[in-house]
Amino acid sequence: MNASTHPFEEPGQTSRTLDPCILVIFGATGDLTAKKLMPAIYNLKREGQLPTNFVCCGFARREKTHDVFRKEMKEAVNKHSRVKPIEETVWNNFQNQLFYHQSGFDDEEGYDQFATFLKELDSQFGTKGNRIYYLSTQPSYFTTIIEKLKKHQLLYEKDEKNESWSRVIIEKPFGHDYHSALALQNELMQHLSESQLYRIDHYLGKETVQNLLVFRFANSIFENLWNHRYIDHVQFTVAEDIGIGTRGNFYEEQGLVRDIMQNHMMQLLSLIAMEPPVNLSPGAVHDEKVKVLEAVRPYKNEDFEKWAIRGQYDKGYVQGEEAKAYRDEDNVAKDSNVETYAAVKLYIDNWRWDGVPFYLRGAKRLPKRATEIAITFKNPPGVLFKEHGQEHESNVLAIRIQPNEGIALKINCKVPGPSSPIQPVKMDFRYGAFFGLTPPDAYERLICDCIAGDSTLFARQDEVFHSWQFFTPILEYWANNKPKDFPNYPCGSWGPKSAEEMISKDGRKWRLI
Amino acid sequence: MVETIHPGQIESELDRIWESYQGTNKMRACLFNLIVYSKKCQRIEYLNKVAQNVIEKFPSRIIFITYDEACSDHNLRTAVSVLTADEGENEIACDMIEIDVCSKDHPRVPFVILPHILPDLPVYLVYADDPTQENPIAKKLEHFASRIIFDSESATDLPAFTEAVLTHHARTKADVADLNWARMEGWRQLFANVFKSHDELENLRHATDIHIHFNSQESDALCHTNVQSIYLQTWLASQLGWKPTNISKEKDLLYFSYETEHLPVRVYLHPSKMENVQAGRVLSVEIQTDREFHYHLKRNPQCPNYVIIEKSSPDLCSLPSHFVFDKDVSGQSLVKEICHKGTSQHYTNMLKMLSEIKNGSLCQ
Repeated sequence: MNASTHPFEEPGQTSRTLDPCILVIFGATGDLTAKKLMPAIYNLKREGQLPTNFVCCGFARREKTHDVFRKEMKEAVNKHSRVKPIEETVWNNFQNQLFYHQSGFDDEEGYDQFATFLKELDSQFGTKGNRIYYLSTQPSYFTTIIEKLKKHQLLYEKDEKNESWSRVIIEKPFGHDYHSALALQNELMQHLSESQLYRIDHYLGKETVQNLLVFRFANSIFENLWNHRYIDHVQFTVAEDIGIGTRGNFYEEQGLVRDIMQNHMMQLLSLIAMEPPVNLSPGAVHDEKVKVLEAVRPYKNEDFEKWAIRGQYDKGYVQGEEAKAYRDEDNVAKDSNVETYAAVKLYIDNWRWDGVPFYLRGAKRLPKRATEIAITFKNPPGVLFKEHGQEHESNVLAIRIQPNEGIALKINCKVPGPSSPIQPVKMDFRYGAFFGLTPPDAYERLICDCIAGDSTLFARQDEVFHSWQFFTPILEYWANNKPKDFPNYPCGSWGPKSAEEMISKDGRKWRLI
Repeated sequence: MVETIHPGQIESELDRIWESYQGTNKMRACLFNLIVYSKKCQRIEYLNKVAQNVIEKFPSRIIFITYDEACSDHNLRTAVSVLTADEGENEIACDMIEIDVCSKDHPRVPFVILPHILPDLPVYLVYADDPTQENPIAKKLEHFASRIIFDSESATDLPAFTEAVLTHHARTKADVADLNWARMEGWRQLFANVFKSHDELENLRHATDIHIHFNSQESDALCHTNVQSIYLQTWLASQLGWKPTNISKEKDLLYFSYETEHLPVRVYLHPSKMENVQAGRVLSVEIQTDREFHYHLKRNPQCPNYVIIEKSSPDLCSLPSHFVFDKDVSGQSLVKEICHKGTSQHYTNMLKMLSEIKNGSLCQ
């Protein structure tokens, strides 16, 4: 039934209703489940956002009972929930809907028993055969799990004959480069369709990222300026003050570009640069994002050295504390050439963005944690204020994704008094000041959207491919040309000198955030 | 009310207070203007609490007007203060302007508040008075409002109230809303969830008897305890296209009869008592259908914001499931109502049907 025709639903007035379902978490004993997924599901339950008939079932290799799993999950929620302490009544109700199934990911018998168990849960809880399989596992298990699910008739699409649906959520990385992403996609598509597959990018679940569309398309004052005629350049920064922690093995395989730039940062780029979609349906939004990624200009041979800068942190000081070099981290090779800093310059070859450089930088062990998009506008003709001997600063619109989520606009003002010097001032809007300080976690929104069958905030296959198409040659170039200066920036600094040089050659500089 | 000041000093006094906060983490914020207008009565304390809860969610400039009908003197007192919305790293705080007025100075009120409505921000008027009573000052206040939020609790005659709200809606450009409508949002949401599928909805269309129990325990803030249950059943009827045929009252029991495309349906409203639930809230709904399905949606007595959902038939008895309402906190309904934009079509449909039911005994 179409939601808009249901007599009890009213667009804009009642929140959407969700189909009953079972959410199965593969890799339920892992960190992601404990730190993010279970707290998100608990908070959805606490706020009445889950369907009335809902079950969550963990699936993992370790042997444990339902009760042990519930106890562990309660501890995890207690520790990691954004709202503390845990509400006992809510938990006690929720834990009756929480189950555990022990099986290897390739164990045929385990899937047989699991299929029977899910049917039992259906009849007990009225979940009507609807399933979400959340693959919180190493990517190497994706194909195995999906293949087994299909084989045991646990994957199906809603159609005229079948009222039930099943969906699969996968976590990044979606491939290691363009070719592996394509191979992964081909393998997955043998067993399920694109409409069943939800590629989660938790950045897209952040309220501030969702606000990018509203900010751009619900405010007429910016859209007229949002093009090459008025914008000088755009900077994207994803800075972290922490190092790689215990993720040495993971980072040695991935590096910064694969970890955050190819996915999170390119998603931000596509939202900032896209044309207005015809409507807010998932397809329309994805189509416009893809057009941007398609238009990203591939590098020529000479661009790799000039426009793609890599770095690796050396020992230094972060927030006054001594911090060790990347090569001294656990599970990292002493001669590792993996990048913990990357800065790239790129162009989007379309009508709107012709000639506007986009600078992306992401890094570990910078002085502070900050994710920001800064749009720097071109200066007005300076004839009027020349005699004051002052260059005005450019107007900058800074969109802070985290922390201190908000939007700031730098404008020039006259300092009071007869001499009229010009001083830049900042108009600053902070989310926290208006809408409270604890927005829902990104995973809450994304899980809810998946239950509702809304894929707008998930990455589509062509977005992933186009992004890999741009970054794979850079990664290959780096692999073939070992860095000569690693480690090349101390912990607690804003990155290597080469990155400063790259942007300063254009007469610009990185923003001090 | 804090220390009284002259109306001309409202802004300067607010500036003085804010200057005294310099160097602290207090952040001045405002999303909209919230004007609360009420006669002086025992509900004032409740309305104050509501305003405090609103600013915890949405910082706003509150202009709180209390009109003392009993006082015939010239008296208009104004006071200002800063309310803190949040105790965090940055304390968010906003302005509160209080106006107490006696009848002779009542006409001055619009002129006093006009300079203090913050421009470019919406103006929400909580009209906590009976809109069926002629009030020229209220009309002037409506003129500023982008959204008027009524409270049917203030009305003594519910059908007259519904007509008054519909008239306001037709007359003004402002959106209209109603606190009692917002207070039953959880139940509307629950019905949308339970009867989401085509089969379940068809079962509901085949209902023959519906029993709604509501908390008839009165409080200082609410004495017309059956209004929310009346709203709930009228909303069901209007959305399902049922035609009202009769309304009767026997002792405490009020019942409504409807014609439907199937068998006639009768809805019974039962006054009940539940300790830890706010006055007037719906406690349970029982539905019997001609298809022999029985639905029972009831609040959990230990945890009243949890609703237990049971469905049974001669051949089937589903395991109970749960639905969670937001916790009943004063002001929560207003906060929700503020989130919505426009006037709810479901609300006006319900009002239209209710205004057709000419029965003055609707309100207890």
